[in-house]
Amino acid sequence: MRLSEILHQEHQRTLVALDDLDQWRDKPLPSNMDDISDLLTRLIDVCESDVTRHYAFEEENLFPILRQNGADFMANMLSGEHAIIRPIAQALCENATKALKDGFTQESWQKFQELSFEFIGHETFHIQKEEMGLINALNMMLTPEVETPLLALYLH
Amino acid sequence: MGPAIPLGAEQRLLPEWIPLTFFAFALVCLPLGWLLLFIQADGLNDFSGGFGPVLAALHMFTLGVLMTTIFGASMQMLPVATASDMNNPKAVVLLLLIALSGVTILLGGFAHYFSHVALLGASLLWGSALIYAAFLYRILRRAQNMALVKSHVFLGSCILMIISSLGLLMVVEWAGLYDIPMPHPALLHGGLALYGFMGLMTLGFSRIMIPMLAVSNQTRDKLSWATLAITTAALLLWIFNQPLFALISGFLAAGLYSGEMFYILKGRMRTRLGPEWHIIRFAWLCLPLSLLVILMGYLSQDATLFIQTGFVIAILGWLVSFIIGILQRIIPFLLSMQIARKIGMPELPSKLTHEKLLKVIGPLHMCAVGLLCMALLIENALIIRLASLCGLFAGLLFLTFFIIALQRKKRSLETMQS
Repeated sequence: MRLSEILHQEHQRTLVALDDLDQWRDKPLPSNMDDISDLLTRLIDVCESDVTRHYAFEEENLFPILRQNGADFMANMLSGEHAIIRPIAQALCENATKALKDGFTQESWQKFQELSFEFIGHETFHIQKEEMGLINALNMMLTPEVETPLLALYLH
Repeated sequence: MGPAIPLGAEQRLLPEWIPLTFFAFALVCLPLGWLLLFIQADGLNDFSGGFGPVLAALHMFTLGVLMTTIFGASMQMLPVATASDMNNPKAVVLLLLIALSGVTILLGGFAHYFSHVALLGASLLWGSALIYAAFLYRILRRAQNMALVKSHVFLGSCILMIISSLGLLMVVEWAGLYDIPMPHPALLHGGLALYGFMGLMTLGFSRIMIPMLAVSNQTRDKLSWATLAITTAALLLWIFNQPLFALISGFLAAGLYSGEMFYILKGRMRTRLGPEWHIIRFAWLCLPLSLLVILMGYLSQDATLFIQTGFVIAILGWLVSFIIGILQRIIPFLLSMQIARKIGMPELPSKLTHEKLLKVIGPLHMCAVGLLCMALLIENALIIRLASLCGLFAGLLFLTFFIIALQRKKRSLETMQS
């Protein structure tokens, strides 16, 4: 399996979670936490792996390769978006963790909704751009000698 | 993997005002076309070809909306998608000036029965087609990828030269300067314009736009090549005056195309789709429907009625609907990327988009198309007026949507820069 395919699969997983999250748009506070607890657990997982780990890997290992190939604009834009999305994802993750433990109040539900839809907007647009540019570019730029250790590092 | 946009895309973006001027002109022509149909409702019912205000109304859609959008989109999109060099902005501005003035003068000539004015407009349009085709050949020669898109565009540009030459000759004939030695040049011109030039461009660009907007990595290249081959055969049959075989082949190709589009959509990564997809799906269904209705015309006693309705379905139901759907997403996306080019970070397209307007524009336009087709079939001028009002309202709202997106982009840029 190529590195681009792994990143693509993580994008798919994230978008499925975002779509499920989007189903709660403008909905009232859930009367039963069981209705949303599975989604909250997946969301926390997405924030931790598909945002924190995925972003760090891209910034440390892939964006330098983009820059070496003259794609500074793309690398800068994507890393700039990471900087915007990270605090939103972190706040959302904290909100979800607290809700799983204590449930939602009207106030925390309102905050959760605001963060959710900000996260959905930014992350979807970000993934769209990575799928159009980065994922395809990686297949062209990564030689087997470069890709094999990167794969090992990411899968480790 | 997903739709590939090669590296360095930002370096191939034209100054934003150039593609936006093409789109703005198209969006002004959209309500104007419906307004002309409203005024010419009685004439449309009796229309069976010939120059005059009804022809001006139909060309307001085909030239004003469709051709202009295709010109603008290809000047911006093709170098980006095919990793070719950016077009020379000054030369694109020349194309813009000649094409827009050609459309304006030609339609004025048609509407007021001024054959020599129309001749000037048609000559300008022929010149713009030549410049546009030259641009395309230059891009295609340097393009590094997307063989399918390139083939569609190449064939489409060849047909553009045929239809613009034939169109010019028809106006020359109208001006009394020449007799075209063929029985139905208008039918040949119309069929090739809609299903040849505009159709092939739509089919080709769909292979870029639909996977990109839906974030889908599922395409069927073999099916698309087969669709292109059958479309080419259908167009040749149409040229060689075999309308029945042409329409049957065209219907098959349309079915394959619509099937592939739904297949791409089924494989999308984003399961939730915006309101623009209703009108895009509607457009996909209208393509085979238009051919079926024209085919019915050739098989029935009342050929003119069905052929006229089929052409209206093709223009307004398929092509204009498709462009309305695509532009609803492309305009904010383009503005967002222009912000990124200026300050390094894009604005979210959703923040530039007036979503509530989008929920109304598509349904209103579809309603207008449905009513218009019904009115044509039952020959009712009152319903044509009602349909035109719906279309006019949809067109005005879309123009408003465009202006709001520009205003929001300006505000976003100011906020992000501060």
